[in-house]
Order: sequence, then structure tokens, then C-alpha cells
Amino acid sequence: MNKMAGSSMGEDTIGAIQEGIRNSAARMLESGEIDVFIGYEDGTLPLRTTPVFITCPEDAERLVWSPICENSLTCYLPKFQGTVGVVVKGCDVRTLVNLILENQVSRDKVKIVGVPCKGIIDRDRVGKALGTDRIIRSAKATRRSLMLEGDGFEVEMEIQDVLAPSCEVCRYPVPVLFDVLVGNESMARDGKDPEAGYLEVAQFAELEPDARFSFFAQEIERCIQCYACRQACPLCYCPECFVDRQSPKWISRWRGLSDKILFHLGRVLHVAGRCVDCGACRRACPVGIDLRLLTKNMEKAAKDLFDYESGLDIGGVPLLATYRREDPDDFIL
Amino acid sequence: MVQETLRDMKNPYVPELAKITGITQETEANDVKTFRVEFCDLSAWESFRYDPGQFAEVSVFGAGEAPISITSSPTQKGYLEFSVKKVGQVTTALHYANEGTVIGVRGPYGNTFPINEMRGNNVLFIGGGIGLAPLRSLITYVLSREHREEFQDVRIIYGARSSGDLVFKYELATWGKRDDVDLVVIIDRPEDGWDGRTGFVPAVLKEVAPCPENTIAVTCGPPIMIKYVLPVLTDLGFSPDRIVTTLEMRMKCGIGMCGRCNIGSKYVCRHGPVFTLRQLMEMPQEY
Amino acid sequence: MLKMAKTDLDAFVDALVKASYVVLGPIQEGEATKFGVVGGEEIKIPRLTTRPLKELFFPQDESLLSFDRSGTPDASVDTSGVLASDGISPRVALGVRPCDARALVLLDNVFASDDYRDPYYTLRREKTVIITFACPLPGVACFCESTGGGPYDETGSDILFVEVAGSYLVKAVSEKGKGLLQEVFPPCILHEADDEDIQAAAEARARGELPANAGVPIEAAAAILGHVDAFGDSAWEEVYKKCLGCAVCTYLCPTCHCFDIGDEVTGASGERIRNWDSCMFPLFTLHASGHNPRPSRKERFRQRVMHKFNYFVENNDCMACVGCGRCVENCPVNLDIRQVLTTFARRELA
Repeated sequence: MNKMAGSSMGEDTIGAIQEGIRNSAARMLESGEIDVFIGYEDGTLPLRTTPVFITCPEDAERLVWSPICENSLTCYLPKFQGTVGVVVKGCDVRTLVNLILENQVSRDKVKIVGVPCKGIIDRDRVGKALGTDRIIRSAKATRRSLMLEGDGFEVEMEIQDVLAPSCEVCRYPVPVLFDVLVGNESMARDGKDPEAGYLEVAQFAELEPDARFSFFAQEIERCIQCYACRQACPLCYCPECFVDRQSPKWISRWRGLSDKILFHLGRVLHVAGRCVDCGACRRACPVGIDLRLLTKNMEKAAKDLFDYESGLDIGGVPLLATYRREDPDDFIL
Repeated sequence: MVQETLRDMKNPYVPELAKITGITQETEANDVKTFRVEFCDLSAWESFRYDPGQFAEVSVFGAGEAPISITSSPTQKGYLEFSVKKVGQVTTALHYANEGTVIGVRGPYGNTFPINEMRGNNVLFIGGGIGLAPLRSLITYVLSREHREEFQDVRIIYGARSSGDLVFKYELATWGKRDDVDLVVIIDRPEDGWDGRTGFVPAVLKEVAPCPENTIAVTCGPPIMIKYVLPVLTDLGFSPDRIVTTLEMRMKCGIGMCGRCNIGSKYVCRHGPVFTLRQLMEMPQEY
Repeated sequence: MLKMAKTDLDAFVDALVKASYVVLGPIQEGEATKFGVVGGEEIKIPRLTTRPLKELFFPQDESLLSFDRSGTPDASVDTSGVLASDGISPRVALGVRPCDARALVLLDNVFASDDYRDPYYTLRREKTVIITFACPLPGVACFCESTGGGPYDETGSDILFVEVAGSYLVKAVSEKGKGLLQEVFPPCILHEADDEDIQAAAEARARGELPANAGVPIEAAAAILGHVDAFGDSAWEEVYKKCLGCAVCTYLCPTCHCFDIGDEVTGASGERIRNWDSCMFPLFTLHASGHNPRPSRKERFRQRVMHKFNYFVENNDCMACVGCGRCVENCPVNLDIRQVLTTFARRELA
């Protein structure tokens, strides 16, 4: 187990990781230990990669790795039959740990190819830094920088400046669980102090209740209830979401604020103590609602109240499945 | 100008109010009831001219609308009948309604059984369970005083799980007494007090072996029954053009807009619900 | 042909407002853009709004009628509140892109067919003048020309604005558009265009019609999808796999029009609501019995593709896609319809 693949830290870390992923996939498919390998391949748009399902070793060449591999591929695992190999970043593997703990994925049916993560580029941030309505025709990401080309411009950006907000405060860029780690730990970002991640939430909590509500009202009013956040979330696997229940019916056909709030609060409460801040919900939202402020708050509550961080311990018990006598209970009326 | 266009334009979503004037408990479990309704505004009949096979969107105000086939026949004037199995929200709400309750009805929608093609021919009806509801409209039409002579031999094969699950017992008794109808009623297994046939509809159909010559077969019932009836009919020599059935899909608008009841390019609410086996063979198996 | 300085756009809007039109245009909402009431503030025309134009005619939720629930013969069904003609004033939608305008013509097939007319949609259509702004810079996800449209396509537009060197050339496309310009003609804003302007517009147009935009083999794909074996083709097993089953593609699509109808009640009265629905959701086709004819994402994804490029074509003689690229750009997993179509265009079905 836990073999190291890929070259040691060289100039082209991204290339080495990509090679490592391809080799691992090809080897696993060849040996027959997996039926399918889920990774990333080049997307059809600049700054996009796309999930790919590889079944023959020759196709492993299609696999890519770069700081634009944004999707959380573990969201595909619960419905898969057979044995699956999957590429995971530090955050992704924590969702997988939870899926295993919650009996949605069997540990022996998944081969984990971990990637030490430098952080993922946030497309919205790139767009903002570039200026709206400048069309990027091609993009290339290296370890440190991002080269963008469009009609009449060429721009280079530091990847550090356009990282996804969840990556900026990531605590565990190196996968906590893997069968193969491509590259090595030194290729990852440094993990951040937890307080750094909760700064925004803590500041927000300082606001008056009215101000907090009006902020959420304004954000959530925009929701078009496409449920992309739910569908993209690796931990939203309920066969029937509460908002889809017809009897009793939870939400109205009026696409009103209260129903939208009900959905988002319901979802956030349902991922409380489970969410690992992979950022998939925020990325999936077509109208750019910052759902992380809600999920991060629950994550902070789990840390503050129970000193619990989700998805770190494959031998552990999910937070909401445990009870200790000394657990704080002053919130119970 | 715009306002005038609007006033002239009939709003297809607005139901006519109709009062429930009779409720018949059909099954022993009371999961099927037949509702007789009359339009509150008699002029509603002017735009509600229907033929056997068509359906209506029936509303219980507050619970919503559901597409329900019209069980009565156009030869029965002054009322409509709907036989409803309690399965979803609307049908459950309907089951709680009483005589005198006002519901909404809009329609009629969908195509009709091919009555013109049936004229001058024998008609074979094969029904199962609540599937007799749409057939009853056509049977009543065919057996009506005005139209009986237009059709040759009429044979009805109808089956249900048990005697308690047979619907339209009054009609079955009436049809059974007529000498111009050959009626076979079947239940799945023998029961105390049941002296009729037992078995499954497809098997009995095989035994009865109706002659396909000059005959059109019309079958409605649970999907599993239809699945086994169709090959039996084909083996008996019925051509796919002369085997007729109805399909159900979830639908909302009834007028081809809401986009959910299609099977391939055919919308059950507009191109159906009545299809020949020939048509089904050309459609994707997605129903 | 008329001409207007770009800087006069806000004055043009003011003139429309003064003539009692409700003016709708692109507005910013958080990080997204959509169509909403404009006027008073400076208008910015984005390359393409995040949310499609269709919602001005077919909103995400609307009341079809109200009723009282008494269940007595005195019960009433009322549409006056909804359809009161003054409920929808004469409107002008501007800053529309050609793809969105063209989509309305496709939607007319559904909502204003020969058999049934949806009064809610048709009323709004009748009362709205569409001012389309030709697309100077199609994006990387655009494929309008492959669908028969184009950055300068006039289908569905009443008036077309073409941007040329700091000005808009203004062309009345329909009688409705001509009427509006005659009615609200602010002479200090609109001038006659000269030959040079028209020449410049033609050149801009020639530059704007990028070949890449026309490169999706839709006709070939549609031909394959029309094949009797297309429905059962094994390619469906592959193309849907990464689909997450959300409704981004359908809700943001300017031509997707599926809806749900249901009742919402408050006390003794209630309303019958229509709201957007999506073929990507399992609930869409779930029977009350529990049976679902489209049980997995594969069948649902196939439905979406087949509906747009085959079923809709069979029923209406045109495909239900205008190549706006919103589904391409906003899909959380970059499941690109252009790639799916290319896959099918290359299939060989016996």
C-alpha cells in the first residue's frame, strides 16, 4: 500500500503528478484491480477540465492534472457498481472518508489516488481580475502562474492570487487517506491554521442579526433552485431530497425567499459535521451564491463545540453519530 | 386590440366547475370510486364534446389536477363519470370528496378510440382491473341503442385480482345479461362463491382464442397484463394496426406544452392516449 | 436605417419610459445578470446575460388562476387578477442577444400553436417589443451559427442594433419595431445613417461571424438522432456519465420550456401555480404508482438531447437550440452539448 509514484520534486511538479496519475490508472486497469478510473481530462473551454471515466489502460493518456481540476470526483462514487479508482485532492478524500464512514462507499471497492494539492483556480476570481466581458480564448496553468490569452490580450496571473476561497484556507492539502500518493507531500500547499478559515465567518457573526439576514436574503433570493449545489456535493446522496418530497410537501411552488432559505438551511444542516469545505457547491452555482459562508459556519460550530474536524479519521465515528457525557448541551431547551 | 384578442382567447388552463352528483364504491378495498359529475354551468357542454378514449384534467381545488380518463360515454347525456383509483394526492383528495362537492374539469383532451375503423367490425375488449375505466366509455357507446347496429360481434374479456377488485359490477351484470355480448369475467384464483373462470387474462385470452378476422382488439389494464396480452393477440393473428391500447404518463397541462408525457416525439396528451400496436412498435420503449 | 450614439442609450431608454413603456434590459444581480426593469441608471449590455430572456415571457413561477376551496357551487375560479390586461403594460426588452430573440420564435411553437394558445405567454409576447443587439464578440461556448442563427440574426427581433465605432445602427426589422420607432422617435437621439455607416456595419458583421461558431455538426447529429436505432444506441451509456442531474442546463436554456402545475393554498383560498420543471429531475416523470419511465440519469439526459434535436424537430420542423452556450458555460462538470452532438454526428447507425 501507500506507494509513492511519480518523480521527486522537480521543476515540473504538475507534469510529474499528471504522469503519476496516468501510470497509476494504467497499472490499476491493467492488473484488473479496478473496473473504471475516474479522473480529469481536458475540458472544452479555457480554465476547464472535465471528469472522465477510463476503462482501458490505453486511455489513461487522456488523464490530466493541473490547478484547474476543480470537480470533486467523489460525488460519482456512491452510485457506482464494481471497483473504482479515483483521483482525489486533500478535500476530496475527506468527503470520501465520510462516504466510507456513512456506508455509502465500501473502502475495498475504491482505489484512492491522492494528489498533494497546491490549490485550485477560481474561475470567478480570474474573471474579476481580468475584467468582465474580456473573453479568454485559451489558458495555461503552470505550478505558479496562469497564462491567459484572448482577443488582443495576453495576461499572466499568479495562481496564488486567484485561488478558490476554500483552497486559500485549506487545512489538509495532502490527502489523509490514499492507496497511492502521486508526488510527495512537499508538493502541496502548507495547511492553514483553522482560525484563518473561520475569520470570515467570525467577522460575519459580529454583524447585527438584521444585517446578517438581509445579506442572506439578498444572496439566496437569487437562487433559481436548479439544485446544482446539491447535485455537485459529494455528501448530498439522499435518494430523495427533502425538497423533492411530495407528501408532506416541504417547499412551495412559489419560488419565494422563504422556500429557498428552507432549502439552503436544510441542506446546510444536513451536511453539518460532514462538510469539508471542498467548495463544490459554490463552484456549481450558476448565479454565484456564496454558500460557503453557511457551510463554513457549521464547520466552525463542529470545531468549537466538539473539537471535531470532518473526514480525517477513517477509523472514527461521524460527529452526529456520537455522544459524550461532556458534550455541550446548553443549546437544548 | 390586445385586450380583445385575450377575451376571445379561451384560457385552456381554466377548468369548468362541476358538481359531484353521485359516488359509487367500486372495489371491496374501496380504493376505486366512480364519480358522476355535472357541470355547474350548462353552457360548458358546448365546448365539452368528447368521444370514448379521451380524458380530462380533473381538479380538486387545493390538491391540484390529474389527468383522468372519461368513463362515461357520450351517449349518456347530462353527466360525466370518472373512475378513480386512490394513488396520488389529487386522487386521494377526490376520494375524500362528497356528493355536492364542486370540482374542476377541463378538457376533453387526447385522441379517441378508432370508432370509425371499428364500425362494421367485431370488437374484442380485453380489460384488467381499473383498466376497464376507459374501455367502459367505448363499450357503453358500442352497446348503446343508437350505435349497436353499427358494430358486429362484441366480446369482453375482463379480469381482476379477486372478485372484490372487479369494478363496474352493475355494468358487468347488465352486459352479462345481454345476448348480443359475449362476456368473460375472470379472477386470478378460485374463491368461495366464485363460479366463473379463474386465471390470468392473457392465458384466458389464449384459451378463448377469438378469431382475428374482421376484429379490432382494444386492451387496457396494468402494464404487466398489456405486456403479455399483446403477444397473444399477435399469435392469434391480429395485425398490429388492429390492436389498440391506451398509455399513461405523468402529465400536467394536457395540451402538449408542459413537456413531460412524451414517448419519443409523441405526446401522450395530444397524440395519445390511444395508440395502435403498430404505433407502439415505432416508438421508443420508454413508458 | 437609423443611427444613434452609444452614449445616447440611456436617453433612448428615458424616451421609452416617457412614452409609458416598461423597459426591460440586462441587470446585475450579485454575480449574475438577467433581464429586469431598467431606466434611471446606466445600462450595461453584457456579452450574454446569465439568465435567459425567456423568463420575461415564461417566468420561473406564476399564478394561472386563483380559487376558493370551499367546494361549494358558489366556488369560483378567477383569472382576472392574473390576466387583467393592465397587469402587463406595453414593454420593450432591449440588450437582447440574437440567440435569445430567436429562442422566442421556437417557444411560439409550443405556447402559441394552432390548437392551444397559452394566454399568459402570448399576452406578454404581444405586449413586448424586442430590441436585439447584434453580438460583436461571440464567446467561446457560443455555437449559434451551427443552429441556423448567428450574431447578426434578426429572427425574433423587432429592432436590431448593430454597434459600429461608438454608434448603434438601428434597423426596424418588423412592423412592430417600425411602429415603436415612429411612435417614440427622439430626433435628438436617432439620426439617419449614411452609406459609410452601413458599409461599416456590413464589415463588422463579416468579422463577427466566426467560422468556429459554425463548427458543430448539428445537422449530421440530428440526422443520426433521427435514425430508428438512435434511441437504443450504446453511445448514450458514455455521454451521460458525468452528468450530475442538476437543472442548470435546462433552467438557463432559452428554449427549455417544461413546467409543472400545482396548487398552493392559504386558508380558504388558493392559487394554481405554474413553475419551471426540468427533465433532468427524477420527479419529472415519476408516476403516482412509483413507476418511472426514465429511472436514471441516462434516460433523462437522452430525453434532453433527443427532445432538442429530434422530437422537437419532428413536431415543429426546427431544433430546440439556439447555440447560446449557456448550458456549456454553466455546466458544473463541463458536459458540453457540442461534444455530445459531435459524438453522434460521427456514429454510424446501419
